[in-house]
Amino acid sequence: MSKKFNTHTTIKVLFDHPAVMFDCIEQMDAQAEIFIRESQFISRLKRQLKITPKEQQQRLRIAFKTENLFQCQIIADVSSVNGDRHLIFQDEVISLFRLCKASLHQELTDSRLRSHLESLRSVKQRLDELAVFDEQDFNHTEIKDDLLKQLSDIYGLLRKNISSMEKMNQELEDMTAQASRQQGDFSDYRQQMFERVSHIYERRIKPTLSFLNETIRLNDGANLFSIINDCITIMDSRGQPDTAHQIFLFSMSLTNISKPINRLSNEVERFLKKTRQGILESNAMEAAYQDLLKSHQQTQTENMTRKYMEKGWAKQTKFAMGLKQQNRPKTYRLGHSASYIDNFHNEVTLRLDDLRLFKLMLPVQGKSKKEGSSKQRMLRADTIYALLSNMRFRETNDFTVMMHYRIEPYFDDYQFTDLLTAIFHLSYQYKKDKTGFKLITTNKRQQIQYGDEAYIYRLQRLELVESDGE
Amino acid sequence: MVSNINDFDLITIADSTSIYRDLTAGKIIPKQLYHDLRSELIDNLKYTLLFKHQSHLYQLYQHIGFELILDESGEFFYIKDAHDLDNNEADENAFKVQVILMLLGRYYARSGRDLENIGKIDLGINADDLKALSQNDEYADILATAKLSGGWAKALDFLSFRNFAHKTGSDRYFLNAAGMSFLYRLVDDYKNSVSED
Repeated sequence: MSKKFNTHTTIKVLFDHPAVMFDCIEQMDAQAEIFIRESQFISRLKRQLKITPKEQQQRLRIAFKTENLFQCQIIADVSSVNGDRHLIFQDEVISLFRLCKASLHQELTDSRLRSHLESLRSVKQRLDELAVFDEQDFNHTEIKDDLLKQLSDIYGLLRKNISSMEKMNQELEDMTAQASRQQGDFSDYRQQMFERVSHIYERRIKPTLSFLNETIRLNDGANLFSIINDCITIMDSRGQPDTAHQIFLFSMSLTNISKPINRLSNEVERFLKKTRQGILESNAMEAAYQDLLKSHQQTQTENMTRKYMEKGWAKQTKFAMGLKQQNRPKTYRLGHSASYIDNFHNEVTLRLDDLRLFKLMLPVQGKSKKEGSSKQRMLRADTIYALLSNMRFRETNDFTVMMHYRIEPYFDDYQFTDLLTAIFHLSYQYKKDKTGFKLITTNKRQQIQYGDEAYIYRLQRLELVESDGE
Repeated sequence: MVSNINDFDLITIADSTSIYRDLTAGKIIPKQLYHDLRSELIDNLKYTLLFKHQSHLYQLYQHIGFELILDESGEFFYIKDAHDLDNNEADENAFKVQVILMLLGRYYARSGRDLENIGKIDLGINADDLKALSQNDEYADILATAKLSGGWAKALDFLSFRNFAHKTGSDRYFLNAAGMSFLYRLVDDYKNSVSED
């Protein structure tokens, strides 16, 4: 015994699996038919069943069965032609599906536009013949309602189409992007693309544009805007300013609608004009762009710390690699700078001081030996500290390296680490005293090469402590 | 005896100096330069000299720590630091140049024009193009993440300064053969990658 669903349930199932109807409607449009072939319908259903969970399959089979659909009034009629059955769905059902998917909007072809224009013309003719313009007169109100309905129909239809056409912009973009990734037969693909685009252009854009063209002359009668303008004049002259205003608003909206179409039309026209080389070029640009986008996207991940793009992309082409402004040798302007000479004198005085100091301390230096024990290291650091605490300094941005060069010549067993220990001690002393200098440790790291060894240390800045009076 | 001829005598000091000045400023020396008054491309004497005395100048720059490079497809010379194998700043400049060129190329191709026109003096990039380019947020974002701040006008000035493009008027530019060669290289690379499969 075969089970059946009611209309509501059936429609629900249909919409639970909309891909079936979407595809069938697309096929129907492509074949320019007003029915869906049962064979196509069933084969599409079979594919859908494959991806449907087992427990739901039975439900689908029942709902999509032709008899069930017919019973529920979803299919209006079934006719048998050459062994295949043609399913004519209710317009309402098809429209609902079209509403859900922009690309399913039926193209506004010339003939459809024409028929709308024809109905509008006939309303206008009746309006011309109308003798009494009175709200109480049924003839008048009927014609008025009919006129407004015709206009709103046209407007609604155009708008629906435009929303699907606007997606064309995106489709064109996708097409170019796809083409650049396309690895298969390029010429086939191009042919396909041309056909698609020219179809859209010829069947959708051009007729709509000429329909909305105010200045176009049609051989079978007035164009859309001249009918509308006539209606406005009639209504105005017969004491119906409200209706006239309403019609005027429609004409405004219709004028506005042509803007996006115009834009689209330009884009498509350019697309069609492209030569093979042009397409190749545009695809190459697109491919390179997609590559670059990948490194660009890395700057937009959750980790916002990466502010700039990786430069790996540039290395692929090796174009202009290594291009850079180079420093030219500069003349040595020693004599021109007073501060340089000041510094120079300063440094010489300080070094002379060091020498004097060192001579005083010779016996102490003799005690320490280059040994690894912590005690020895401490002793050496102590010696350096003793020297440091008696030395005179000037402000510098790299205290460590300055001391290194000033102390290193005086110790046979000098170790860089000892200097660091001594400096650490000195900075502690400065902190305690809060007079004279202060030593600021920065987060910058610097490398120093000394003998066979290299050290990395943190930059320390020596600054004069500002007096409190200031 | 040939060996008695000093290579240095074959090129004047003034010429060599001016070539050196351009190269160290981080410019390329293209085969042709735009002549503002005549509004046309004329042969670049510096390029001719470089080309004629290639081996001498190659050695000269080698001695002072540079590598003189001739980009054959783009027909231009430039120098890079011979010891700087992993130079970030240098890569960055190449990257910037490439990014700007590629975005221009993409924009041009998308607007349905042939790439070749971007390199024509009377076509190239005009004020409308610059406006359209500036309105693209994605491009602006990409420029910023390539450390190119200041928008498209600055980006094109960057190209012009380095001699990949020339300014022909206010808001008008075109790419020279050096700049174009990069776009053609992208097209060739793409063509090869497609035909390989």
